[in-house]
Amino acid sequence: MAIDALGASIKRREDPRFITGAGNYIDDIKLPSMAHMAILRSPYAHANIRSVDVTAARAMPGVIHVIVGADVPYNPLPMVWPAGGSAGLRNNVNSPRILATDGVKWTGEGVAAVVAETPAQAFDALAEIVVDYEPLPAVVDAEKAVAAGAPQLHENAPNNVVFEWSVGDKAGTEAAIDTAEVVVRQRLVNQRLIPNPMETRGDIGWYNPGTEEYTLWMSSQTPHIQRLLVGIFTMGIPEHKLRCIAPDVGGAFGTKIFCYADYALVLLASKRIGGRPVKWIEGRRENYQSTIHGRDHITYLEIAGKRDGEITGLRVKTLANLGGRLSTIGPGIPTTLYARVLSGCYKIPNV
Amino acid sequence: MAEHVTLVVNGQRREVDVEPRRLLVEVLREDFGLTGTHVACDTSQCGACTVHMDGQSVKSCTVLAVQADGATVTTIEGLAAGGELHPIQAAFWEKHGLQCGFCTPGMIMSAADLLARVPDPSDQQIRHAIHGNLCRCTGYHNIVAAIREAAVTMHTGSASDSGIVG
Ligand code: FES
Ligand code: FES
Repeated sequence: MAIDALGASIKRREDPRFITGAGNYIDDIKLPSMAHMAILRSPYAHANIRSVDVTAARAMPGVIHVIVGADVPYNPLPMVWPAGGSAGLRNNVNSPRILATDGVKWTGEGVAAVVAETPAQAFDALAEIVVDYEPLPAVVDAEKAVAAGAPQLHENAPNNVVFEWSVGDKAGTEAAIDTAEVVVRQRLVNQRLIPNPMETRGDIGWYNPGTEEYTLWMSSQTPHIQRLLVGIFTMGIPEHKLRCIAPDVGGAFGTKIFCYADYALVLLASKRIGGRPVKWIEGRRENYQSTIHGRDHITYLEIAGKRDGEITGLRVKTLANLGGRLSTIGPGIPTTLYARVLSGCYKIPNV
Repeated sequence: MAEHVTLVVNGQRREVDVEPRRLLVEVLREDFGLTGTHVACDTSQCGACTVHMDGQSVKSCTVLAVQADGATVTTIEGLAAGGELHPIQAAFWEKHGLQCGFCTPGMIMSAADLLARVPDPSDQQIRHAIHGNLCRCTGYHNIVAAIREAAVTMHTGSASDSGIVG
């Protein structure tokens, strides 16, 4: 007899391994001859890089390989969800590099990577890398960033405006507001947040020199998509030469959807050191800096209504902080994903 | 310059040479392969690494391996006796006390420490006992329900029949 699952309390099949400590999360995976990678990250939100000196780091105990931005032959990470549906849209293409080359645009941007026999040796060597930064002014508030005189981040985004986008029935909404019995106006701050899964991100890259195939174990919500984003768009590896494996994932909250520089770095590092697998596990502080954040909207809204409480129109103007560089799906979120569902579950005739 | 450390882990005598800076959690996970104990922070705040050392719960990321020399350590892998789930493990399963499972081993080890000291805790005592364990998925409600359920089972030898989740 089939079980009627609706309303029944059903025990989860994956729980026995989690409650006995037999789960298999990314950092639980240990491969023969595996090396460990650590990433040096920028302490500045905005700076030019004059030089990166890794001589001392290369000589540290256990160090196998050191990578800087100039050594990375790949494309910047892809931004694959532009704000669609509006003509004449200018989406700039300032997406993150695998490692920064001439400058950094956000705190936590990767500058160099060390591969060593143990994680501790990799971290010890990071401390020996000397980066000559020329710090530049930074601004973190979206309204201040678009104000006159604000520090400029990208030449192709004047006044720090990446694009302007609109959707909906403009004339109808204007009319609804102009003729409304009541109009409520408000400024609403939806604060920036750190999604903060209990398991930070992490990955293991393995290049098989015999077959020239790559394997990427990743704490990810999107291993299928990453085959395209990391493989084809970033590194130029055809899909049949890259296998992406997501083991048990210790929470993600959206952060593990995106395409990150470390995916390409562990694969590149494995190839550079002759096919030994390379593991990178993110620290918590690192997670706060270098894994994506959410929200950070400043919204001006106007609600038109009748005295009996019926809502007749909604006009929303939102300034979304997209950060120092465009993430994988950053531009799609405050546009297609957000603006098209503004009315929520309400029946609002003019939005 | 390695230090020699001898431990009893989950009933087994283990010896290891460690660099003095290495943490108990690193030795458990990397040297002994006991990966059920997790690391989720670098500030001693999350409790994912909770194990028992000489009968007391400790955050194993905050104990140097050399400090554990001579100690008896129990990890999540050592909790179920003879393949039977410990009542706390069974209650977490039954009451949906977990989602991703990353915090769960630490949560269960903290709960075991509480129930060893306070067999019939109030909800407030349960919440106090796990205030050093962070969970991002569950919202804690069903974790508290699971620990309450486990307390009843361990008392009476059978699960409560309230049938209420939470
Ligand atoms: S790893 Fe977070 S408290 Fe030990
Ligand atoms: S179950 Fe995911 S963090 Fe607790």
